[in-house]
Amino acid sequence: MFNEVDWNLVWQSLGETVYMVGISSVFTALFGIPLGILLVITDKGHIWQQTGLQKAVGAVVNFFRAVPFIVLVLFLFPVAKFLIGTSLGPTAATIPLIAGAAPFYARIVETALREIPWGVVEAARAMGTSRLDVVRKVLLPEATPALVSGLTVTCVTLISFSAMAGVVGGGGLGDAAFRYGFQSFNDGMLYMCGILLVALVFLVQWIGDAITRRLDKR
Amino acid sequence: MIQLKEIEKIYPSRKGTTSVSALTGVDLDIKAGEIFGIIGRSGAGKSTLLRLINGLETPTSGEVWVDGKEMSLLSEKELRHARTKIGIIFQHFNLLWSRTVWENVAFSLEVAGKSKAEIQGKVNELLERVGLSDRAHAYPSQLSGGQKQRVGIARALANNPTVLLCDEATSALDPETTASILQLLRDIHRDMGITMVLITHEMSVVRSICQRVAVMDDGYIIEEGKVSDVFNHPTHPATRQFVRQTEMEEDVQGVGKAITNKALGTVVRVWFRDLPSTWKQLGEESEAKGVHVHVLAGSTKPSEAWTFDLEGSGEGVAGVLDLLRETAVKTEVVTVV
Repeated sequence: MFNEVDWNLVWQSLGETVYMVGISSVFTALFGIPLGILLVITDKGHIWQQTGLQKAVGAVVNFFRAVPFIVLVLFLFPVAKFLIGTSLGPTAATIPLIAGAAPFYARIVETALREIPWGVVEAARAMGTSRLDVVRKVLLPEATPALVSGLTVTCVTLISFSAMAGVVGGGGLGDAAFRYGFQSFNDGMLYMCGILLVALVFLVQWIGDAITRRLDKR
Repeated sequence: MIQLKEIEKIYPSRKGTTSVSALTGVDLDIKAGEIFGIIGRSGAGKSTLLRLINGLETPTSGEVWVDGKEMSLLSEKELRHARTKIGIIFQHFNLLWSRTVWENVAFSLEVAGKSKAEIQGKVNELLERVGLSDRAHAYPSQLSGGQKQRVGIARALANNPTVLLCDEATSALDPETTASILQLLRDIHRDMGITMVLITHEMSVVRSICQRVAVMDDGYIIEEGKVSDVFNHPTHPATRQFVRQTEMEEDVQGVGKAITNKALGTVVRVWFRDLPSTWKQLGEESEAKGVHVHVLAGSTKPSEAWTFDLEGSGEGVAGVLDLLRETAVKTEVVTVV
């Protein structure tokens, strides 16, 4: 069955998927962590209570989480075109990927930070710790294992999102499976792409779990 | 050192509830260098009171003066500086589990902006002080409760505070560990002359360490004075009830106040599994270790405990305790001298 597989195409698509997921994971963390921090510290009774800001950030996050990913891709075609110059290819696909995953990760970050016992935050405040130091030296380090395991979950989600983005011209394994596998009646190609996607998910999960275990001192 | 003047603290009403008055007409004057206890049942307002002192809570009305400064008039920056001079330890320790013992103590120095060299020397000195030098690189999850509290104490003392607040600091610890932590606090008080404010619901803690005490009930300070006066001649009904209840609890444990007060050594309660054989071993072991075993109470019913007063060297008593723990159903240390 696999003798009809175009290996050059497979490797190229795998590279595109890794590229898309890699770039969007980095930016997802870059946007998701500050958003998650904001959601927590601006909440009522927390270290920087800003009820208006909290509600606004919450609403934006909820909006992006509510729109189905495939619709988000279509919505964001113009944005990708404006930022990247094209709405096709793996680089353009990172725009909806980040827009879809960052709010998702922000909620995970929020949960992770809220799990830190309030007493620890209060102890830090009682020792004269500034707000910035509470975030830098208490919230983030204490939540690091949860942030890493959350990023692993997000990364796995991004892999499946990337396969969908592929179908609308983003490239990568999803695109290859659909166009050169499904539409070309090449079952070998279709299954090979699927197997590689699954393998990628396993690999990411395994690495993520290993890092989380090392970081967790509880 | 610490003055509270006509403090009211009212938590405003939320939807569906009426406002709650946590503190009413609280006046308190805690002198420099004394160990002051605040005792009361949970919900009496003692936690709120303690948190007024370091500005974690602000009073609805009234003034909080610490070391000549009115806390509510301080700017954010001044308040942070004032807080570095008010150490606090907690019931649940509140250590950072992602940091080692050493790094936890360094934390309070880091946030106070001390230099690396200064932090290095000070942390080692503090760990020495609380007897944890050999555990410097352990994580909190690898420590016992007593050790965690020692880290908490070292952390609280890092910036040479003038005041140490203890928020139910021994309530999560067993009696033996409680005794050793109270001893450490007593030593620190002796060496540093620091002002200490303890809140607790345990009369025994106040008795063993405090010079003066305030009794709180339902947001009011109902009685205040020297520890011996307040507990031996309680005037307010709620204090009387508190004293009676504590005595009853001690009696329920099978050891009355009269007994523990007269004890010469470590008082233990033991539920025997096999009375005759353990009795024989106990005799041999205590003789070998040079420990006098005084029977304070006993019973021939298997379900009831015996109470012993073990008098001897620390090592000897520990040896006898080990034997009892191995052979008896349950062994409970009531007091440690």
